[in-house]
Amino acid sequence: MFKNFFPNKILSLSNNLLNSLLVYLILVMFLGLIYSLYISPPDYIQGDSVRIMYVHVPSSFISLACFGIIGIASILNLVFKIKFIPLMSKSLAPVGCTFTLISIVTGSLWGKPTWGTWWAWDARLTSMVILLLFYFGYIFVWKFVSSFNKANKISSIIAIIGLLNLPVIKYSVDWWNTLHQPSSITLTSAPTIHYSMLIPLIIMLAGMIIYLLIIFLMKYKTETIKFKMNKIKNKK
Amino acid sequence: MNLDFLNLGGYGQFVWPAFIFTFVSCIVLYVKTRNELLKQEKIFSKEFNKKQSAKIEIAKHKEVLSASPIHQTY
Repeated sequence: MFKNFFPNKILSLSNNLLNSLLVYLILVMFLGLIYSLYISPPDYIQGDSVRIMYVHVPSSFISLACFGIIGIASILNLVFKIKFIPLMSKSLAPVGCTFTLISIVTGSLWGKPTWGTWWAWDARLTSMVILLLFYFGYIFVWKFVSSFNKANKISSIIAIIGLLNLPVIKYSVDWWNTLHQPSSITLTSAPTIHYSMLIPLIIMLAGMIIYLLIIFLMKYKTETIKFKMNKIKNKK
Repeated sequence: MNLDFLNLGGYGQFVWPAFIFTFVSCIVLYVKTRNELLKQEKIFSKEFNKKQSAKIEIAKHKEVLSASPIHQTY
């Protein structure tokens, strides 16, 4: 499976695959929207404001997962120096950054009716802003450092330092007193939310993962082409 | 039009902007990424065609040379 991400393989990636993923995305999102805005019930305390959860939670999950992958890939990159790993990490960053921004904005929109404030500098919210700054730093290094090797090294170091922030985000609600509620879904225990809310959440998460895959494949192909073109230019 | 659906129990002013912001951000990123890919594909295919035509020219030149009497051995 890993061989499919080799640069030569990704160059032969056809538009048919992207188009079929796009069809799946539209279908899943359509279903997700019907469930999250219409079928799922309002919460007995939060009322209909709970519907923000269906975009807030999947985006937070994806933003953390993307940075986790970038961080681990950066460690592998520094150790094994495999050329296509930085291209893959670089391709994940914009989508991860977008989902972090979505998570912060939708969280703020959810915070106003729930906590009575748009923003509070508590541990969970602040650590998410720090994650966004790490994403910005990572993307800006690739954008403004012209040498590939130099940008690769600096961005890898940023990603590895940023990796330390992920456990802080995850456990901030347990370590400190925060406005943010503890996790309702964990990998180790049964979810504490009702299935009528869990189903739309899973559908929206599936839709966003398909979206992530589409953006990643397009971006990875773009970066591979740019890399090959630079190689050709340097040969000349 | 069902206004209750838009109002969402008084929380519509928070729920709709959250969904709209999410979808607009995703659409903007999709369009930006797709345009960049199309642009790079165009440049790449141009460069690839240039290289291919150069290779064809060289091959043709070699063919002409090998067909000339000087290069033929009897």
